[in-house]
Amino acid sequence: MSITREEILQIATLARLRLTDSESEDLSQDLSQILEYVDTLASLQVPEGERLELGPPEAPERKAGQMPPDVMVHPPTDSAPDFRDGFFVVPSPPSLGGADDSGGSP
Amino acid sequence: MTGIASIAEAVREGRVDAEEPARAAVARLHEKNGGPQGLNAFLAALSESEALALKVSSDGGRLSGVPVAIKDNLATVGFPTTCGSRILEGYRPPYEATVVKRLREEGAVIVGKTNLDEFAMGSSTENSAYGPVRNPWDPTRVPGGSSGGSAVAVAAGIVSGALGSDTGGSVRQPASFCGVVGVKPTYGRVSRYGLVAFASSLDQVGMFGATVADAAELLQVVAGHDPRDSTSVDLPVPDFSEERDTGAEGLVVGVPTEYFGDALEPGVKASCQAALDVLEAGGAQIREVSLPNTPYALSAYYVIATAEASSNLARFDGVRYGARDSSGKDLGEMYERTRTAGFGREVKRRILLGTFALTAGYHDQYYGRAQRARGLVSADFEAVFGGGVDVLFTPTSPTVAFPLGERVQDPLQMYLADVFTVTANLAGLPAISVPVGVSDGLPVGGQLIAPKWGEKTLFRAAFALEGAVEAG
Repeated sequence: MSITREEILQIATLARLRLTDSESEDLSQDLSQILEYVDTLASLQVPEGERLELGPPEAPERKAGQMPPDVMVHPPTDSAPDFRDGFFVVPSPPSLGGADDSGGSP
Repeated sequence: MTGIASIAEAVREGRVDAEEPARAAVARLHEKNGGPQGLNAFLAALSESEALALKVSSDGGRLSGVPVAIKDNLATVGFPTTCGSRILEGYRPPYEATVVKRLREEGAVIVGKTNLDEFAMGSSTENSAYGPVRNPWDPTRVPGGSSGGSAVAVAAGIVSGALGSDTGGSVRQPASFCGVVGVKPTYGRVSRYGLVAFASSLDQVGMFGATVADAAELLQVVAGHDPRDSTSVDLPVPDFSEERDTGAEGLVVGVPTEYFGDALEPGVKASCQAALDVLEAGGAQIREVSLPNTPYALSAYYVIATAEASSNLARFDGVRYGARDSSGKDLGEMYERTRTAGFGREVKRRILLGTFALTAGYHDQYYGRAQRARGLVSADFEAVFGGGVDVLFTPTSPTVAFPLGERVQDPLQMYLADVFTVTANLAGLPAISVPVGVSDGLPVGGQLIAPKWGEKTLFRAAFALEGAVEAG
């Protein structure tokens, strides 16, 4: 398994890291070398029909109608003074002319 | 007088001033730690004037007056906790780790915080943002890692005992490289509250001592249930010192063939064989066994550990802890700039590897298979222990301490230093490294591994091994 410089940059974005050109080059080489070693896991025999991961069994699927209502779930209108068209209504900041705000309430 | 129990007894009986052992430790620390040729084992320590002003109680406590060092990824009040990283430079936790609190409650004096690989990621203590630690046996060589500072603090005679953390061998491997004893308890035996998380399903706090008795004494004090850590288990803690004189008679010691292959240095192999010979002469029954899934262990470890690390280290983003680079134009840039400037190269490498292993396209290929391998490695141990083996004996590391800088540019070679220690973490088993000889003027460690919650058997074997090696 080799990993390209472009893939490294994409992963770095997911991990909230910035890499210089030389870092991304070096790290793509490092990770390719490590992944080549880690590929020993590919030879792990998994008997047909068995789950790949060993661990607790997965929870049985439940139909939507069987799910009890969650007492912790509240509509957004319960926790905000004003909620319109899918948005919480807040006072406009002064830079946007907050004094003219007609819909917001604190 | 160096043993932990001897120091505490002398303090309790008033034969030694309660402050004296800690003051002497601080003097040794400042003599050996700093300067261009210093060991660099400590990142923070009591000053000599602070040591002179110490007030230590001598009325009770099984660690009365005993000077102890703490790895700098354990939260302490009174010292910063940096994890060897720029991102936590100067960070002072508002609370103390349970293990540190328990040491203090028994009268121990924390003299300083020890250097480590950044966020405990490394096998040589060269990845610290505050410079590498030197091995007191040969200052041109590494002390092992990631708890290298704690191992060196004990090996150099600065303190009587130290705490480290062991995610894949980070206590046992440096103990082996520095010629001291290092123990990793069963996962759940010791609270992780206040230990900065690297890989939560593998991390355990471990102990260093100059002798098996010293390591056992520290574990005795810190072990036990802690409601603040949901993975700490509410089980009675046996008296480990009871096994001090039991000996090896009748002990069944398994020797897994997979740990004695071609990768082993001849000098390490010879020392380990000699240790097995003296154990056998002491009445132990040596039995060759097989742990067939061992070849998957290191790969599984580096996938699982880095996956967990990529999640655990997401919290270091400049918002809640430590350093912040707020020069960016928005919140996202602040996160990126802070993390990019704050993390070192090895930490970035592992975060990227872990993030990659968890991405949708590769999850089953890497993380899923690694979890399965973990289950198979655990099952191997269960089969061997279920077959009548009391403890397993292996080398702690395939080599003795290697030269500083030798593996820094080759991460895979560095990871291979953990090949014999990661299995105990994957399976959650207790394990200990005990000095068993010297090769080319450098110490060799032998590793004992016991079943879950089998620390009593582990210490029985370790006491016997230590005694046999000293006598032999």
